[in-house]
Amino acid sequence: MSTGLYVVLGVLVLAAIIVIVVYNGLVAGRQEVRNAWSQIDIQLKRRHDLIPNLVNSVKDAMQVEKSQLTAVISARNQAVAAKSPGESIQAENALTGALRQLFALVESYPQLRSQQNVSSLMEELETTENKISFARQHYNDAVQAQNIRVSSFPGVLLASSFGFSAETMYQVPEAERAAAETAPDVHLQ
Amino acid sequence: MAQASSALYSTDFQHAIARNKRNTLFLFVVLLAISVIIGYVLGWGYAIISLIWSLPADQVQQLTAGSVLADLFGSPRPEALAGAAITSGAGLIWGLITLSAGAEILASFSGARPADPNVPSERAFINVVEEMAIAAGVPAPRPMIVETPALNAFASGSSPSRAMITATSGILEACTREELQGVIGHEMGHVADYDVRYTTVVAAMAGVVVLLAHFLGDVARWSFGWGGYGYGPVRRRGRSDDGAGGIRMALTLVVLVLLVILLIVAPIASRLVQMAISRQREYLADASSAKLTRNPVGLIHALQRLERSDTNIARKDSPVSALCIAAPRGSFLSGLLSTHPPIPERIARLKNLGGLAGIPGEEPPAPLEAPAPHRGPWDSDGGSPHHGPWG
Repeated sequence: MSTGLYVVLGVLVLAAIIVIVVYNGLVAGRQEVRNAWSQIDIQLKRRHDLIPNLVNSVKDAMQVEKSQLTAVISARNQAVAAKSPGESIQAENALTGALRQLFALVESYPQLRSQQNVSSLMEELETTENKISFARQHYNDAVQAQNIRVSSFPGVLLASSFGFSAETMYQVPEAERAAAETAPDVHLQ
Repeated sequence: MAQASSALYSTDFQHAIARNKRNTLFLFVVLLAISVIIGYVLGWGYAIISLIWSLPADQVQQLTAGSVLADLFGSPRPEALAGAAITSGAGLIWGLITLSAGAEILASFSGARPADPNVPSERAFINVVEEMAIAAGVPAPRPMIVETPALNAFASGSSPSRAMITATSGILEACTREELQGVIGHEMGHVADYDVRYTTVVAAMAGVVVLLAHFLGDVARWSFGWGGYGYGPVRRRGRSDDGAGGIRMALTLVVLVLLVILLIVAPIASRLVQMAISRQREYLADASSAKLTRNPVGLIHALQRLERSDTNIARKDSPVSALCIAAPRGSFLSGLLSTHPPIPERIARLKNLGGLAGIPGEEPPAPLEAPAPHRGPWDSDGGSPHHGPWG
C-alpha cells in the first residue's frame, strides 16, 4: 500500500472521529435542555402541592385577606388546569404574582410567622419559588449552550442533517418583568 | 442587573471540567513522585546507616560524606527500591480510596455531620443547596454541618454525584439567605466544574505526604537511638567501639541531615503544588457563584462578613483548609503559602464582574438582628435592593 493511501485513510478516520464527537455533543446538549425543562415542571408541580397547605394554615388568622387567599387558590387552580404550554406559562406567572402578594401579607402577621408549621411552609414555598426561577435560568443556560453548538463551527455543518435545530429560550413576559421591577402592590388596613 | 447577567454567561464549566481533570492527574503523578522519592531515600538511608555500622573499621575510615551521599545516586540498593515500592503502592491505593470516598474521609477529618431538615436554619441550608444545584444543573450534593461558631464552608467529593457541601453552624447563623446563596453558589461552582475532585485528591494526598514525613522523622529518631527506643542500628552496633565510632557517627549524621531536609521539604513541596493552581480556582468559583445566583452582591456581602470573622474551621494546617471558602487565618506561612487570594481582591473582581464598580469598597453588610432564618427575596428590610432571583 502506498503512503498516499495511508494519508487518505488517516484523514477519513479523523473526519469520522470529529463527526462522532460533534454528534455526541449535540445529543448531550439536547438531552440537557430536555432535563432542564422537566426540572421546571417538577418545581411547578411542587408549588401546586404546597399552596393548599399554606392557605389552609393561614386562612383562620387571615380572615380579612380572604380575597387574596381566594385569588391565590384560583390562580393555582388555573395553573393546574392549563393545557397548552402558552396557557401554562401565563397561568404560572399570574400565580407567581398572587403568591408574592400573599407572602407580603403574611409578613404583616408576626404571630403567623412564628408558628412552626406556617414558617416551615413559607420556607418550602420560598425555596420552591427560587427553584422555579433557577430551573428556568438553567434551562436558558442549557438552551444557549445548545444554540451555540448548533450555530457555530463545526456543529453548524452537521446539525441540520442530523435534525438538530436551535431551541427556544424561556422568556419572562414583559408584564412580569415590569412587575418584578416595582414593589408588589400591598394593601394594608 | 440585566447587562451584568449577560456578561456572566461567559463562565464556561466545560473547559474548567476538562482542565480540572487534567490537573488532578498531573497533581496525582507529582504527589506520587514525591512519595516515591521519600520511600526511596528512606530505604536508602536505612541501608546505608546499617552498612556504615557493620563495615570493618579500616573500610569506614576511607569513607567520606561525599562518597556516602554519592551512593544515593549510585546503583539502587534493594532497601531503597523496597521503600519506593511500598510508598508508591500506598500512595496509589490511598489515591484510589480518595477518588471513591474522598468526601467521607474529609468529613471525618473535619467532624461534619449531615444537616438536619427539622432544624429551621439547616432546612434553609438544605434548600439553598438544592436551589444552587438546580441552577448549575448538577445532582444536589449532600449538605453537611460542622458545629462551630467559626464562619466557613467547603465542598468535597470526587464528582458532583458524590459531592458534599459542608457549612459551619456559625455561617448559617450569621448570613442572610442572600449571602448564603452566594456562598453555596461559590461551593456549587467548585462542584460543577470538578474542582472538588482536584481539591479532594490534593487534600487527602497532601495529608499522606505529611504523614510520611512524620514517619520519616520517627525512623530517623529510631536509627539514631533517640526517643527512648535504644535499639536502633546506631545504638546496637555502637556498643563495640573499634576506633572508627566517631567517623561512623559523623557519617550517620550526614545521612540523617539529608533525611531531615527531605522531611522539611516534602510537605512544603506538596503544599506548593497544592496552592499553585488553587488561587486561580477561587476566582473562578466566585465567578461561578455570580453566574448561578445572577447576584454578586450576596457573595460580596458574605465575603465582607467572613473577612471580619473567625474562619478557623479546623487546625490551621489541616488538609481541609485549602477547600474552604475563606482560608483559616493565623498560620505563620499564611500570607506566603495561602491557598486563597486576599478577600479584598476577590471582592474587587466580583464587583467588576457584576458591573458594580460603583459600590463603595468598605461598605459593610447590613448588621443582622436576632437570628433571622427567613430573610429571603420577599423581605422588605434587607440592606440591598437586589432581592433574590427576581430582583
